[in-house]
This record gives sequence, C-alpha cells and structure tokens, in this order.
Amino acid sequence: MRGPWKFAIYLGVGLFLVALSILLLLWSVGFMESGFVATSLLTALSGFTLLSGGLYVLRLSAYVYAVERGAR
Amino acid sequence: MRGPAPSQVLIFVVPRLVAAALLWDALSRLPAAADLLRQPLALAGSAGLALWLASAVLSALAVALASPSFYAAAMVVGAVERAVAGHGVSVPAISVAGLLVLSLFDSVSSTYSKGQGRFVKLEGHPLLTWLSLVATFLALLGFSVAGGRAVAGLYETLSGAKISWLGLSLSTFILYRLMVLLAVSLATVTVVSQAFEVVFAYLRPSRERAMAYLASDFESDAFPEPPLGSLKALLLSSFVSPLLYAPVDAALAPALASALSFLGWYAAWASSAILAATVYALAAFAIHRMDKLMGLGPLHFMAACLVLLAGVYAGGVYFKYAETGDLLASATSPDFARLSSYVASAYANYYNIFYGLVEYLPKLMGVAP
Repeated sequence: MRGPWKFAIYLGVGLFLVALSILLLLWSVGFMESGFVATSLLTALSGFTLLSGGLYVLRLSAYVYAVERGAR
Repeated sequence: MRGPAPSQVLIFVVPRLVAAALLWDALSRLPAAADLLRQPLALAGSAGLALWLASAVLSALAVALASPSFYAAAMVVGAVERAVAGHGVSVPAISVAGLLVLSLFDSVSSTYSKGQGRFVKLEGHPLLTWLSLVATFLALLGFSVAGGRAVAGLYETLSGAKISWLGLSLSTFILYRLMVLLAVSLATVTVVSQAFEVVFAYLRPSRERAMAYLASDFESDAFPEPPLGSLKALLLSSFVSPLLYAPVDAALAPALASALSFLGWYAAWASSAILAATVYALAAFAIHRMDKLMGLGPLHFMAACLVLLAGVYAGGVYFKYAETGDLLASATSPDFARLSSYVASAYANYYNIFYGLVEYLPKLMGVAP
C-alpha cells in the first residue's frame, strides 16, 4: 500500500479486536447472570486476551502513524 | 554565598505544604481512631487503628519526599479508613486537586535546573491548541472514571452468581473473589494507561520517538497474562487437578484413611481432603514451572491440543475396554458417555471436598461455632 496509509490497517485490526473483546466481555457478564459459571469465565478470559492483543495492535498503529506522518 | 533561587525554594516548599495538609488531616483523626479502640468490637478497632497508622506514615513520607505516589497511597488508605469508621467511602475533592498540584511540581522539578526558565513557543493556533488539550485531558479523565466503574461492575457480576451450586460455592470462596478483583483491576489499569499512550501518540506524532521505540526491543511487552502468572497457575490447576485427583483418590484414600484412623469419624473425609490439597498444590506448581520453561508459540498450543485429544480418546477406549474386554471393539467405538460421567463426578467430588474444607476447617480449629 503506497503512501502514508499503512497505519490504517493496524488501526482497523486493532479496533476490530477491541470491539470483539468488548462483545465477549459483555457475553461473559450475561453468562454469569444466567448461572453458566464456566462459560462466563471462559469468555472473560477470551475477552481479556483479545483486549490485550487489540491494545497492542493499536499501540503499533500509533507508532506507525507517527513514523509515517511524524513532524520531527 | 548565594542563596537558593526563589523558584527553587518554591519547587521545594509548595508540594510539601500540600502533602502536609493531608498529614494534618490524618493527625486530626487520631481521637477518632483512639475511640475505635475503646469500643467492645476489638476487631473493628484494631483495623481502624492500623489503617490510621498506615495513612499517617504514608502522608509523613509524602511530606518528606514530595512524591505524588505516596500522596495517592495516603489518600486511598485514608478513604478506606473513613469507610471502616462508617462514614462511607469518600475522597475529598481538595485532596484530588492536591494530587494534581503534587504531580505538576514533581514533573517540573525533575526537568528543571536553576536559571533555565524560558518560554516555549508552540506552533499552531493558540486557542485551538488550548481547547484541544483541555478536551483531551477531560476525555481521558472520563476514561479513568469509566475504568473505575468497570472494575466495580465487572467484579460484582463475575463474583455474584448464586444460581447454580458451582456459582454459589465459587462466589463465597474468598480466594476466587480476590482473584477476580485482582484480574479486573489490573486489566483496567493497564487498559487505561495504554489508551492514554495511544491517544497521545496520535495527537502529537513524533517520528524520532516512534522510530526509536520500534527499533528497540519491546517484544517483552505482554499484558495481562504475565502479571497474573501465579494466579493463572492456580486457576488452571483447579481445572486440571480434579482429573488427577480422582484416580489418586481411588488408589490411595483407603490406605491413608486407615493411617489416620485416630480421627475416627473424620478419617475418610480428612484423607480425601489431604489428597485433594496435595494434588492441587503439586499441579499448580507444575503448571507454574511449565509456563516459565516453554514459550507460548503456536506449535506449543497445537501440541497441547493434540495431547488433550489423545487423552480424551484414550479415556474413552479405556472405559469401553473395562466394560467389554475387547481391544479392537473399544478402539473403534470408545465409550465417551461413561468417560464424561466419570469426569463430571470427579469434578463434583473435588469441589465438594474443597467446599467442605472451607466450611469445616474453621469449625475444627474453633474459630467459628
């Protein structure tokens, strides 16, 4: 991809991962309220892992953006 | 001999004055703490006195060092102490303003040297820059507040399931609640701090800093599983140890029960409990060690999944073989129903043992009636 738009890929992936993780965490809360404890814990674990991955990709996107369009 | 410059005196004195306000507040609460001691509830009194002592020591350290971390810790301990004394959890707004002042002076003093006061010229429209900075600051402050709310809400729901029996036994198990609280608060703090970093990197992109960071070795920056390393070992062990415990119990429990026959009626249960606790501790230790030895590459995951599949298949084959005695028939049609009922009963027995341990042990030791 030419030009200073490479950061958009990272940004998209990062936002997608964070959205997925928020969905999983909300599901986890719903499962716990219905009494499915093990499912709730499993989705909570998946949500936290995806959250960490998504934040890492978002940080990478910020640094790539700074490299591409940085002032100095 | 020239005295210190007025700006240096200012930087030295002002943060210490602000922290001294907190110390004064803590000292003025000494009569209340002493009153707590005279109450008949000795436990509440000693907790209140210990908290007051901690907040006084922390605020004294904050005055001595002018450090915002000690100030924040003293604020938190003071709020907890006020909650224990029955006034409800509250942090006065003045204290938070004092924390901001302290942080400002701390960051200024770390980069300021004598006689170097100069004005910095920012490019861009001044009003827009100011507005954008203030708006960003308020938005990120909102992030932090939302993070605190998320910790409270997530902790309440993740530890408040009372419908199923497993949920009930887990939600009254204090170790589980502590683990959930620790996990949620660690995750929220890390999320908020990384969000701050990302937003500021987008607002003021700097090429040199980004290149330096990307070129450096930052692969060791993983979150949140390593901070929860030992907790994860405990959690994984609680999943794995019932399976390990069931055959061990079937094999060793009668021998152990006869060795403990001096306990009389408790002997069988005590031997099961000892075996369960030992298996749990050994499994947690092994998982912790294994985690440090191997990495978490994709090949390792695949190997673990294949081992798990092979184990399940072997279990099915074993149960069919125990029933029919024909190896070829059991290899082609493994009995998964008996395997799953065996596994379910193993888990149920194991957690019953743990629940009984938590319930009976204080009674045995005379703590609870």
